[in-house]
Amino acid sequence: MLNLDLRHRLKNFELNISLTAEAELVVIFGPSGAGKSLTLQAIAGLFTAAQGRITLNGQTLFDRAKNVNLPPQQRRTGYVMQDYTLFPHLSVGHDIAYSLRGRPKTEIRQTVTDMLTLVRLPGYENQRPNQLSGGQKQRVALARALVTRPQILLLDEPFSALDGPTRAELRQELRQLQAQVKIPALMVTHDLAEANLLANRIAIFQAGKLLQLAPPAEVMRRPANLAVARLTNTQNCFKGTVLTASSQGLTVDIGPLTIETGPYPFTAGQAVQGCIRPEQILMLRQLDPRQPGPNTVQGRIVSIITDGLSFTLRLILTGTRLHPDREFDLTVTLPLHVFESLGPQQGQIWPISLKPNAIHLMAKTDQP
Amino acid sequence: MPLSQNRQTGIKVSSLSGWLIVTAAFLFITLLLIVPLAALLWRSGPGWLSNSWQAPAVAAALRLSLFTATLTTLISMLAGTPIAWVLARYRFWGLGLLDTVIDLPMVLPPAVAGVALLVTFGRSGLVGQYTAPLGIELPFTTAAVVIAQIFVAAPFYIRAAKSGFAGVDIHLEQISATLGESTLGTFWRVTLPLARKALIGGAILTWARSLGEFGATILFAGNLTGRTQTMPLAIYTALQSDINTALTLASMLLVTSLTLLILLRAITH
Repeated sequence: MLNLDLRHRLKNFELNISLTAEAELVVIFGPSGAGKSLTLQAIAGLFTAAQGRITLNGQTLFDRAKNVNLPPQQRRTGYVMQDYTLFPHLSVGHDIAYSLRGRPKTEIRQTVTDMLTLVRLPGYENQRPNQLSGGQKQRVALARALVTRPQILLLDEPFSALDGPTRAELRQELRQLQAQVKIPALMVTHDLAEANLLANRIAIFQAGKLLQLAPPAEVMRRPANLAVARLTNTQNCFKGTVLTASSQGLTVDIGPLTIETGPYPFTAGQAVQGCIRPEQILMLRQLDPRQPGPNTVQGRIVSIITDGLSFTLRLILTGTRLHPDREFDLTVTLPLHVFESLGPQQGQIWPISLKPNAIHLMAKTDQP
Repeated sequence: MPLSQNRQTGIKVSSLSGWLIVTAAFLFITLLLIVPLAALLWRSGPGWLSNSWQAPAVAAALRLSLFTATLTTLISMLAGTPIAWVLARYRFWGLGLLDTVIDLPMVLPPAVAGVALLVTFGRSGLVGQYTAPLGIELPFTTAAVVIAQIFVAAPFYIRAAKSGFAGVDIHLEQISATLGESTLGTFWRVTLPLARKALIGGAILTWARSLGEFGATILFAGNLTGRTQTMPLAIYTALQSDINTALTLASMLLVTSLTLLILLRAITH
């Protein structure tokens, strides 16, 4: 189990992170310069924070107050970096056995064979790094890190330099390996899909702060604040004021309309922020004028773009605008089959429904 | 295709103006480099190796030159390797200054170095006035030859070693540390092997520069046969009386230098 508490003043921001991790895979996600890699380096002992404390399985690795700061070689962390950091002058076998210097030859040979089998590269002992593909290099780097029986795995964007299929393969293998070794693993990425695929929990970093640490579903569905919502691609954000509140749900005034939401611990009169994922907005085939249903509005499609698998529509509301200063009010993402069966076209006006349960409310923060 | 890539990143010469530039370059180099060196070998005649080879001054100069240049190179490596590593890996106040000062001897006229050493280690010099009563007098000794050579030639090694160390990805050293290796162990097992070529290249340059050292040596160490008269000094001395000996010595140095250069290219490419 990892306990970490770090504070350090940097040029552009202040690192101020507290987190704990069990024997799980925690994916640290955030924009560049959020302090993600720095946090891994601090755990490995490659970076010393001005203040804080790091303990791993009860052992203190770093404690500024008590003047404890173990050097990297005494911390037993397994580090894998983005750029393939195999030793250029060593063969794969010698690379994996790097930490085994002084052990009996037969033991070393056996360990190397076992590790190569584990990472599915049997028989690669005598290959040189420049004979390996990117994916193979990262497998060797992982094996080399695991040989030391580390207490924690630190993976700094290990897959970001790999091509798509290789990346998918290695993600799968990492999941299995992590489940086998039963140690905490922290992995840095700025690929949201990767974070969702791999993480037991996602840690959202921004400008040196931990904004949210939660399972992927919760981070995606219930972002802690607007910044997390933005980082996780929740595009339809708005400000509002709670009108009524009950255990059944809330009504919120968001300017052009009043919407119903599920229950949240806010009281009438309180300023809130909300968002709804573009995937959760419904486009209705037709509007029943006698029973319009909750949160139903009309929007005109101003643009349609596609990545080939899903379609993203931008709409402006036909009544009062939600964001008068922007080019559109809402973003709706439809899967291919829905898009094809509805056949929406640019310029058309469509009824859309913001399902009350899909709307997520957050306390208002000062962030823009 | 008018342009095709050669094995480096250059472009094949195809235009008239391109050929003119290449021809001019060849003419220039031929006139100023190749012709004089060829003339030297030609004038010393086919028997240059046996010619005046037996002259005792020649053998002594050769022995002294090989000994001092090798000693200079070893000392430069021992002292220069840690310095180069610090320069390549650490950031501290005064780094830029230190870096510049180390390069200074490479642009400084060797005569200036000789005078500077003399007023430092000479009998009444800044340091020499205190060591002279203890019986330690450096000028006009073989040690002075080595000191003069180190002054002039060590920067070549330090420079090469520094860029060699700087070229080793710091991530590799960090990974080595996380794998349990100590700082010194990481240096031996990762940094040194990866910077090996640069270090050897730098050592060859330092050795070659030491072998050719003249100005600082003659001013600080003097020109004493067998003690401080290295090959370049012997050439200078011989030229005043016996041009054949001078030609022999010069030819020997030329062949040595060429061999070193070829060795250097073989190692660094």
